[in-house]
Amino acid sequence: MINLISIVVALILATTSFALSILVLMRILRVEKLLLFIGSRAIERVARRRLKLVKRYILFEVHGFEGSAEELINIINRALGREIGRIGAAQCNVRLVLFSPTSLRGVLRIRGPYICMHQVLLALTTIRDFNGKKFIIVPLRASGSLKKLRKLFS
Amino acid sequence: MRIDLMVQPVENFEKFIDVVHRLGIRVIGVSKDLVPEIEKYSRTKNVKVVPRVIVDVSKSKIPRHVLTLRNCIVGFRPLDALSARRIPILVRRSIIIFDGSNIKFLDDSEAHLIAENECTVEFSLRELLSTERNRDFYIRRAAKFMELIQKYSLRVVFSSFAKYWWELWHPRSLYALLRSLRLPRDYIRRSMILSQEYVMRVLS
Repeated sequence: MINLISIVVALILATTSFALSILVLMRILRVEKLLLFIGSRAIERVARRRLKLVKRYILFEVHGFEGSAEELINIINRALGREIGRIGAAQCNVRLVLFSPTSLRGVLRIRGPYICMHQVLLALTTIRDFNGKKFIIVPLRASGSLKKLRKLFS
Repeated sequence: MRIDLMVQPVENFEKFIDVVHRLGIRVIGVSKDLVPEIEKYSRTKNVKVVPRVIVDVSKSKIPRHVLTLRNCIVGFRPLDALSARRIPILVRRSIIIFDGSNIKFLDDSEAHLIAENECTVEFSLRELLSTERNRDFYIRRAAKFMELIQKYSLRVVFSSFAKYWWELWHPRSLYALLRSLRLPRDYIRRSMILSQEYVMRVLS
């Protein structure tokens, strides 16, 4: 009789532990699936952001510069090449949109990956001389649209 | 108020002060011996001059008389690793200057010591503009330093240490540089307030 009871108890324990382990396994699988889903979405989002080309405009002011707009953009491109390399500079696609030789203010357009914005700002702040000419470039404001900067430019 | 806590002009003071004025800097820190000469030009441009004393510390020996100096901002520049470690302990709440010559001493444990003793790091921006080979090393160290600032919540001020007018930094240029080195806005603002605090202490 005692043997029979112990066998039944052992059976019950075995089945419940089996059921529990299956439940835990299912939960783990579900969480893993969810994590994978979230992870892949996050990775996708980051990758999309990296690849996405953004357009930004930077209003800047030059102190102590005497020269034309073409000369200035040449200087900026060379400085960019020095700071981030020629390929990086080409990716950033920097163009001088506006420049006034009287007020010495100008607007640069950047069209490239998001990181370009920081790289161009870093390059602009560290340009101090070119062929023996000394000057300071001050980035005043960055914006996504040209309209806002036109007001400040004028 | 826009402040540059340390400049070291070597020639043509008039042009230098003119550019300081045009860049919108209202207060500059100058070596104590140069103050009377600089003040001749700065008065007309409404630029205030704060006297500075920089003490080069080697073998962790700090001259006694500098500890009692008033009406000027004192900064300590360590010349060896031992001094860099000892200055925060010997002089609490002091300013420790790091430039191209001693940036290699600014590591994790040094930052921890500085934070513990409530010292302030004065970071030189002059080396970022040099064309020498050690510039890359300095930029790398600067990026690492930005991480340490956040990790230990360090008190930091950024000074140009400019010798010529083209080495001066416009506040917006400095902001752009620090943002591109990934320093959060709060820390940049805090560093500006801190330099104001030092100036107010001397001027009042």
